[in-house]
Amino acid sequence: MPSIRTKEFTPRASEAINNPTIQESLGRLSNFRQGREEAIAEFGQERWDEYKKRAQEIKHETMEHLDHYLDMLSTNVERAGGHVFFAHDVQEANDYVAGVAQANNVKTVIKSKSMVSEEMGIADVLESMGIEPVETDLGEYIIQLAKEAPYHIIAPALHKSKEEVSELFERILGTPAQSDITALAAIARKVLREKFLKADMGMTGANFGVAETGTIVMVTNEGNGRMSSSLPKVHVATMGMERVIPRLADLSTFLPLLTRSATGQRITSYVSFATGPRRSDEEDGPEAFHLVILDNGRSNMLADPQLREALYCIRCGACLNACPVYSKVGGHAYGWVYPGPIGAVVTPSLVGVPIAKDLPFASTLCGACREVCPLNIDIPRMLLKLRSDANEGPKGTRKANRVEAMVMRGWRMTVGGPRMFTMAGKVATLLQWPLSRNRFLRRLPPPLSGWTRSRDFPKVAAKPFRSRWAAMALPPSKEGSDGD
Amino acid sequence: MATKEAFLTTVREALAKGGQTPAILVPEVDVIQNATDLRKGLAQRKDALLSQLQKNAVLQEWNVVTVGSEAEARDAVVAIAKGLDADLVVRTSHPMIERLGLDEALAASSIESVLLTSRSGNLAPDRLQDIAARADIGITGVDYVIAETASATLVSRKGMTRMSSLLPPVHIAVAHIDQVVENLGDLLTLREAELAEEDAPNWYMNLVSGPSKTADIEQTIVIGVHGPGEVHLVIITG
Ligand code: SF4
Repeated sequence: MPSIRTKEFTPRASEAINNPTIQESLGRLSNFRQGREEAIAEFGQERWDEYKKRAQEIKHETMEHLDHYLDMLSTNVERAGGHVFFAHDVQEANDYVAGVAQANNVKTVIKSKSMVSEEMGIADVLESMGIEPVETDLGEYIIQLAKEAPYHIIAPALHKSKEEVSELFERILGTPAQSDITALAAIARKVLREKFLKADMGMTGANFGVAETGTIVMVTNEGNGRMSSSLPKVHVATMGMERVIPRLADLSTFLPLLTRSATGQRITSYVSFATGPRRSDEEDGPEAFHLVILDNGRSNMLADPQLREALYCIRCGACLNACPVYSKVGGHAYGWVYPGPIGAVVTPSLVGVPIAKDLPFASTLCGACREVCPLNIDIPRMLLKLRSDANEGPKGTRKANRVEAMVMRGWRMTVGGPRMFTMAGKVATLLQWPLSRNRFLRRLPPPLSGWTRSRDFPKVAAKPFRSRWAAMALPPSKEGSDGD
Repeated sequence: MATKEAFLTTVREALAKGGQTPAILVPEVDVIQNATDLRKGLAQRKDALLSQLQKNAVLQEWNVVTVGSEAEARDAVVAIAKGLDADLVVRTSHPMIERLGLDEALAASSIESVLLTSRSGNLAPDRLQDIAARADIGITGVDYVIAETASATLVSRKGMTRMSSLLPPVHIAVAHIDQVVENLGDLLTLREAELAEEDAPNWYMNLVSGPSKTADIEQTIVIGVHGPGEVHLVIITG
């Protein structure tokens, strides 16, 4: 398992906030946001909502019968001539993959991007055996050279500027400095092409594992996934157990949601369906196919009705792009494999709440993540749940400190009754003037100064919302809640 | 070591299910009838599907050539190869590609054309990769084309190597209008019917929907990373 640095959230977050290159890179997340919005507009909002609903229904059906569909998936992979290994944790998964590599006398492994293989830390394991693991997705390759963790689920090297990439290539590959991005990509193409042609094992993830046919579906743009699953004599695919879907036809629902949410694409350049190893009538393709299905704590999420829906995630990355916290603190602050809002839910569940207790607090609970999520996963509710687990939960891991407890008590008193609430609002309006600039408070006094160190706190409005609300005329049909 | 049973037991416990999962009823569908009905429907909408495909193919960065006959398709392919100064092309053996008589036509322009197979010719299996990696262009037929996403669907089997459309820097896909379907669902319906009789259905396939690309450095799009950076879709309407 890669090192877990979830306890360093605060220092690593402020490091990112104070790094102008990283802030510039994070600024580019707006491309993803815009791409997604345009793609949905083209698709049609109503149709989009229908697809979302259908996707949720399929995931619900899958998760409630997960045992059944995993059984079906493995039976069908085996029927197609593949091997399936069910791994309880990363240790078992790594041992299995290491065993396959050893049995096949493997020297070089080409990998296409897979979050599960990051979770396993398989590259380190292979390396320790004297096997060369080569990441082939351009972004993954860059961070492999830099010995870093992925910054973003779909853009692992999001934080690197072209100058940094050039410097990295210069230092490690000995290539001359380049300021042109196309030329940098060409360098990687050339170096990696040689690896592709000589590798004896390919590792890929699986965006979907189709139970009905035993098919692994890989959604990629570069073509490295196709190479990793076609050229070497052994193909090993790894997937989290929640990636199973019942039927091929379900892809009609999931693919448009995935690619449009992730990059705003109608479809990616390649969608590859791999079913077992090369068949007897095929010309090329791997001689052996192995599928590793990983639990590694996912069954804990499955067992918790409040977290089960987090397993619906299709790893599109939209919640990262939408998150005001991720957009500031970046991916490494989250300290493990999965960053952003979904990372803040998944990581504590997989590595344990005690060591990842800061993550559920790395959110403003603004709800943007849920808004953009194609599966409508209620991340804010889950974060609240994990916060309470961290604070007083059954494992009693994070005791609220005194100040926090005091603030909470005060808050309960204040909002407890309309009279106190109204009065508090008036007092706040009077007290804030020395601190405020425009409509925002730039600095709050301690112990709240931590909040405003990196963001502004909205000023308390002179006229309370309740009085403005009363003054606004409501159109009769719009009364009541819209729901969500 | 976790066995499958132990693993699935953990899952069942997490779901608070006791013992075996009750079987899930799958509705019976007549895949053959579905495919027949679909084909009829598609045949009636050929023109609309063609223009949908042409529009989306351009958006997906295919170079689109629409021709009226197989002879014109052959000329179009040769023109592309000549324009690229190609020396060596590899190709697959879809029936339509065979009918084009590409080998002779390319040879007339001193371009070597190799059918990439170890089954019918005299190529050893381990030579395929070398040749494909050296080729300037890979020419393939397609099994279907999806109009909605401009996806050429390639099923790999005898005479149809995966690497023909993957290793060369340029890919030319030749399709006939009768192979155009509207969406992924249509494709699956037709494939399902084709595979209905098979014991181990061949569900290996690739949807190719444009050139290989990346935006991994500063979110700047670069075309042609590992797969072909230039892709041509030749559509025969006659
Ligand atoms: S939680 Fe939703 S938005 Fe976030 S990566 Fe998963 S599917 Fe995408």
